[in-house]
Amino acid sequence: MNMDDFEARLKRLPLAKPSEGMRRRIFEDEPGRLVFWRRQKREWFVGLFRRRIPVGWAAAFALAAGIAGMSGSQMWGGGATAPLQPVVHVQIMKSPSDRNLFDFTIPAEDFMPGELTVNVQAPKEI
Amino acid sequence: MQKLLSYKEMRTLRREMERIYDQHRSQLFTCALAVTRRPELAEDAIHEAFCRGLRLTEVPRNLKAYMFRSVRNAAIDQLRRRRRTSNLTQDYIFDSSAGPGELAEQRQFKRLAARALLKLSKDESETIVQHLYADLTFQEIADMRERSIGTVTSWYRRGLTKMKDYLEV
Repeated sequence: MNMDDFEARLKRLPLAKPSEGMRRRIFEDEPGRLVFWRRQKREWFVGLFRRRIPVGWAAAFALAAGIAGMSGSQMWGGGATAPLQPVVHVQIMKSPSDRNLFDFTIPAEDFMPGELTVNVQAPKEI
Repeated sequence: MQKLLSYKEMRTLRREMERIYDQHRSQLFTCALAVTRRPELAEDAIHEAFCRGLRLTEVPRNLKAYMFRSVRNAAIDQLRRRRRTSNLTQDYIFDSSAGPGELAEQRQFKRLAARALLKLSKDESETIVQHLYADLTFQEIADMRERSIGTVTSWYRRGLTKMKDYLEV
């Protein structure tokens, strides 16, 4: 028998096979299945955060978020705004002289001797 | 930064690995058995190699050759970890269940071939198993073993000659 025939005869010999449950053990049972699915889940999340975001997009998003936040706070009365004061109308009804009563450059004893009528109007509830 | 496989690539890799297992399970088992010489260690090696394969972060160019290499490495690890576990099977890498049409002469040849393989050096017997039964090319074996193709070819030829002399055919 020459070498080629011998090689061919050897090649024809049936090979041992792994047990029937081997495939299930690798691909369906733990840890094979878990290794794959856990990895898939983990890498999906990691991939989500590792995505490259253009700087321009990030800046535009930050700007839009800032504007929305500010307008929201103004609309719903958030933030530190001063409380509304009652509206006071002062009406001078009678003046003893023709002098401008609001001219404080000249000292005067008869400063606003006349009658004052004050109207106080409470602000409406918003 | 470590490259991550996309969802689609991971599914493709899994499918490819399943295909390689289905098509080459006997060859993979034989290669592992050639190293461990014990069926239960060979199965553990295949299991370990495929579980490692499912964690790959990059798909190798030749996945089949990669898996054969990975199974071999896992088999060597298994052998190191559990050196004496059970007895060697009589038929070594060959199917010990006699087929219905198997003649006594064929059965005898199978037994002798198994014995002859075990008498060879590890390099020779492993190369014969990898080339003859796992259909790996000499180049693939050389890459796997990190040796020159000439060395691998000479292991194969020398091993085959020794086997032929032993079997006296």
